[in-house]
Amino acid sequence: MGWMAAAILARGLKAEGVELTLIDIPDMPADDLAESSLPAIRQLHQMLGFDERQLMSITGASFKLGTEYRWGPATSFVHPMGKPATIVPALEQEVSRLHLIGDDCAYENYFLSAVAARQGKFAFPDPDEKSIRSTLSCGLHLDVKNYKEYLKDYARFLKVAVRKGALQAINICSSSGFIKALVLDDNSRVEADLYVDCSGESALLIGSAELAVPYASWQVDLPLDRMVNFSVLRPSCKTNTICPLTKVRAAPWGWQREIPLQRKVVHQFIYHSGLLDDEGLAKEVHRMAGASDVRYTEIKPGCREVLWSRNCVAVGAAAGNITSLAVSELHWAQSALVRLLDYFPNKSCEPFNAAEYNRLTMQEFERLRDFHIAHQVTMHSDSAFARLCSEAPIPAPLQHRIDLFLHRGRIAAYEYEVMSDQLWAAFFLGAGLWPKRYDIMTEALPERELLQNHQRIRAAISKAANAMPNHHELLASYCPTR
Amino acid sequence: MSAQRIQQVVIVGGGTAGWMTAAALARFLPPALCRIVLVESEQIGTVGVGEATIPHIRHFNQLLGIDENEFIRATYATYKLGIQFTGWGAPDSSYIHPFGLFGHDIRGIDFHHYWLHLRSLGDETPLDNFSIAAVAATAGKFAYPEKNPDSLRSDFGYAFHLDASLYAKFLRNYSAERGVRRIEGKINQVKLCSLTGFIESLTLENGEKIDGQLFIDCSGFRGLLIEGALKTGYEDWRQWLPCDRAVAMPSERTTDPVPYTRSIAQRVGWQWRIPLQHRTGNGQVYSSEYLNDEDALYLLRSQLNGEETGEPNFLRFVTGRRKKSWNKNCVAIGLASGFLEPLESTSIYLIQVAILKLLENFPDADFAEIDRAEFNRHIDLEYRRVRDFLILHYKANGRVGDPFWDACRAMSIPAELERKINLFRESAQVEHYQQGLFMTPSWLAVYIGQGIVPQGYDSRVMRHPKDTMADYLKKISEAIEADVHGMADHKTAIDNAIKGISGIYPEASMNLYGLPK
Repeated sequence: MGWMAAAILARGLKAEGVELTLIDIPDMPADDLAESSLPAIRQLHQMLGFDERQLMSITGASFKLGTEYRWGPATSFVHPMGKPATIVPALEQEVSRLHLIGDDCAYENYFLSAVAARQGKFAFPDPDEKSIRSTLSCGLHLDVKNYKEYLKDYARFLKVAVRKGALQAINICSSSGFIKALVLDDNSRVEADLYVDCSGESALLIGSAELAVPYASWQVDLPLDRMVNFSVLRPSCKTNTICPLTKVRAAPWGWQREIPLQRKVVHQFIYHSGLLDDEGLAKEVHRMAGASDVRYTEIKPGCREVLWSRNCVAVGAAAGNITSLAVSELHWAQSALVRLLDYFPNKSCEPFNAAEYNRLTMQEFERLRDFHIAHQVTMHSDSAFARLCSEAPIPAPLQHRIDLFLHRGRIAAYEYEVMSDQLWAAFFLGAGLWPKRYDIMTEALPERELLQNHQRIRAAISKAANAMPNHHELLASYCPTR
Repeated sequence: MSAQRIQQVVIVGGGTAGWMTAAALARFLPPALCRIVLVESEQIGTVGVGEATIPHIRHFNQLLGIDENEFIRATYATYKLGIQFTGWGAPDSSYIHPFGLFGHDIRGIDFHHYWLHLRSLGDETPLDNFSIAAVAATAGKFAYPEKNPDSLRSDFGYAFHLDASLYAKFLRNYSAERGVRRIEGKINQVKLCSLTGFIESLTLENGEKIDGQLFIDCSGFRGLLIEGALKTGYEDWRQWLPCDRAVAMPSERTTDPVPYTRSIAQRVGWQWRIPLQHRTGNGQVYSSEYLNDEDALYLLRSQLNGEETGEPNFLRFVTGRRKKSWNKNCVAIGLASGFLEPLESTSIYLIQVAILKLLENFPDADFAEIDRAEFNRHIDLEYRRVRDFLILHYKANGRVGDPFWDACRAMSIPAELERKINLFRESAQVEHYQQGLFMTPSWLAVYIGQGIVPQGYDSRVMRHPKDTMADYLKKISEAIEADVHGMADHKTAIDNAIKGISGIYPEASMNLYGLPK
C-alpha cells in the first residue's frame, strides 16, 4: 500500500517540488498474494504512464470481465463489468416481466462480458460506441509481489526517498497537535508537513496514542476476522482455459475466493475464526493439491472515525477494512489517493478541505461496505455464518435498496455510489432477487413480441461472444509471464 | 403480476403542471390499461406568465417526441443561454450564470483554480469570458451546441423563454390526440375513504362524479387535494427565502430579444425580464415586510422599457414545500408540491422531475408504501438542492445599506449550505455531488459573481509562470470571442427556427451544461 501511495503521490505532485519519503518498516503483516481489481485500475495505470502490456507480463496478470459467485450446490451467476449489450431502456423491467411469465433466461446473458467470460473468451473494450464490444469493461488480476516491485521501481524513478527502520516515537507539536516528526529506531528523525499512514491494520500514526483516532468496528455487520492466502500452480498445459473471472464461493464459515493468474491460481479463504479452526482450515487447504505460500492475516472490518486528522491521512487498512471480497483494499485506497491529490492541502491543512475529503471518502466507503453486506444478505441463507450475519440490522440505505428492488426492480440512487445502477441490478438479479412486479410501461408490448425481441438480443450477444478470442491464447501472445 | 394496475388517473388543474403531466402520462402509460382524465376550470386562472426554463425542458420535449421548432412557433419561444444577475454582488456588478462550463479542466484540475491564480497575480479578465454560453449570451448571439468534444461549442446547453399558457395549450392538444379526456368544471367536493383516508372520487359543481385510483394535484398554490383534502402539511422556508409576494406585468418588446433571462436586484427583492418573441415578461419579487404592493408595482413600472400590455398580476406565496409530495393516493406536482421563487428558472424543471419520478415509481392499485417513500425521498432532495442554491444568492449579496439585504447577509443558513460556502471560501473547492440539480459551474458562477473570493486554491497551479498561463488563458478567451462572432444573431436564429431552416437541433439530455456524453 505504501508503494502504491508513493507512486500516485509522486506522479501527481511531480512538478510541485513536493518531496516524498517512504518509511519502509520491517515486519509488517504480509500482503495478499493477488489483486482482483475493478476497471478503474486501468485508468490509474494510464495516469501513471504505465505500459500495461509490460506490467501484465511482469505480474503474470490476467484480465477480469467479472466475478463468478457460487452458493448452494448448483447456483451461480456472473456479476459482469461493463454494461448490458443492448440499448433497451429499462432492460431489467422487461426481463423481470419475461421471468414472471416463465422465461428462465439468466440476466447475465444480456452482458457480453459475462457470456464471454464464462466461455474463457476475452476482447478489449472497443471505444467505438456502435460496436457491441464497447459494452465490455475489464479489470486486472495481478500478482501482488511483482506489482509491488513494479511500483517500487517506479517510485524510485520519481525520486521518492526511502528510509528503513521501525517507528520509535511520534513528536507532536504542542500548539497545533500536528505531527512534527517521526523518530525511527536508529534515533533518526523524519520531519514532514503531511504524513500518510499506510501501515495497514496497525495504523501506526492515525491509531497511535498521540493522534488517537478511534476505530469504529463493523465486525457485527461483516463478521469476518481472518484470512488465508495460498497459491496453486497451473499445470503447464497449453490448452488450459483461463476464465477472465474472479471466483467467489459462499462457504458455511465465510467466503472462498480464486484469483486466476497466468501460471497459478491464488486462493483466499475469508472467514470467521469461530467457525473455522486451524485444523479444519488445514484440511481444506490440503484438499488443494500443490498449495504453497500459505499465509494467514487478521482482518478487522471497520473504519476510522476520521480518515484525515490534523496533518495525517490514513489510507488502506489503516483507514478501514471491508474485507476486500468484492472491491479490494487497493481499489478504494487508490480512489482515496487520487482524491487526496484533488484536496491536497497547504502546510496548515485547512480544516474545511480536510473535512470535505473525510466526508467524501467516508460516504464512498459506506456505500462499498453496503455492497459487501449485500453479498451476505443474498448468498448466505442457512449456515452458521448466515446466523452471525443476521445479528446486525442491515444499514437503512441498503435495506431500502433491496426492498425497492424486490418490489419493482428499481435501484434507489444514493450519493457517492461506486457501482452503476445497471450493475446493482445485475447483482440482485444474478443473486436471484427477482422483483415481484414490473413497470406498467413495460406492458405496452404483447408478451410474444417482447420474448421474440429478447431472443434476438440474446442470440446476437451469444454470437458476439463466440467470435471473441480465447483469453488464455490472448494472454500468451499479448503479455506472457516473464 | 398479482397487483391490479391503476385503471384511471385523475389530474386536477390545467396549468403548465397539469398538462405536462397529462402529456407525459399519455405518452408512456399503455392506453389499453390506464385512462387519463384532466379536470380544469376556465374560471380559475393559471399562474403561468412568461416562463424561463433550463435546458432539461428540451429533454422533456424529446421524450414526448415534440419537434423543437414547432414548439418554438407554438409558444413564441426564444432561446436562452443563461441568466444575467445584475446588482446581486456589489450594486453595480453583473454576472451570467451560463448553461455551460467555464474553460476546461487542465491536467485534472478544475479550470477556475488557474483563473484564480492568474487573478491573484493581477489579471482582471472576468470568469464569464471563459464560458462560451456567457459570451454568446452577452453578445446576443446563438448557435446550437456541437457534439464534437474538440469544438469550442461542445460544452454548453440551451433552454427557452416561453409563454407558459401557450405551452399548456400546446400540450393540451398533444394530450387530446393521445386520448386524455378533459373535463371542464369546478370541484365541489373531494370524497375520502373512511377507512384508509384515500381519495375515492371528486364531485364537480354540476354534480358530475369522477372516480379514479390515482389523483394528481396540479391545482397550484391551493393544493386542493394534497392540502385541502388530505391536510398533508407544509414546511415553511421563509426564514431563508424572505420574499413572499410578486407582481407580474407584460410589456411591449422594444428591442430584439436577448438570449438570456435577466434578474435585477432591487432595494427589496428582485425583478425578472423574460424576453419572448412577441413581448417581454416582467415581474417584481418582494417581501411584504419591507415593501407594500403599491410600491412594488411602482418599482416595476418605473423600470419598464416598453408599453404595458396587460394588467398587473399580484401573487402571494409561502416559500417552502409540502411535507410529502406524494401522500396516500395523491401526488402533488408543480406549485401544489412547493414553491421556490423563479430566480433560477426551476419551476418547470421541478414539474418535470416529479413527472419522471412518478413514472419510474408508478404505483399499482394497492399503493405500496415503498413507491411513495422512494418518490418523496428523491423529490425532497431536488427541492432542497434548489432551495440551498437560491439561498446562496441572498446570503452572498453585496448590497450594504439596504435593510432587506443587510438582514439577508446576517441570516443563519442551512448547515449543508454553510459547509459548502466555507469550503469554497477556504480552498476554492466546489462541493461535489451527483444527485439533484446544479453542479460546479453553477455554484462557481454565483460564488465568483457575487464576490466570494477564496483564500486559497489548488496549489498545483502555482508552478505555472504568470506569462505562460496568461497567454494560455488569453488564447482561450480570444478563441471563444472569435467563435461567438461567427454565430448568428439571436433574432435570426429564432426566425430560422420558426421558418424551419435552422438545421437539425441537437439531441437533448438531463444535463444543465451540455449535450449527452
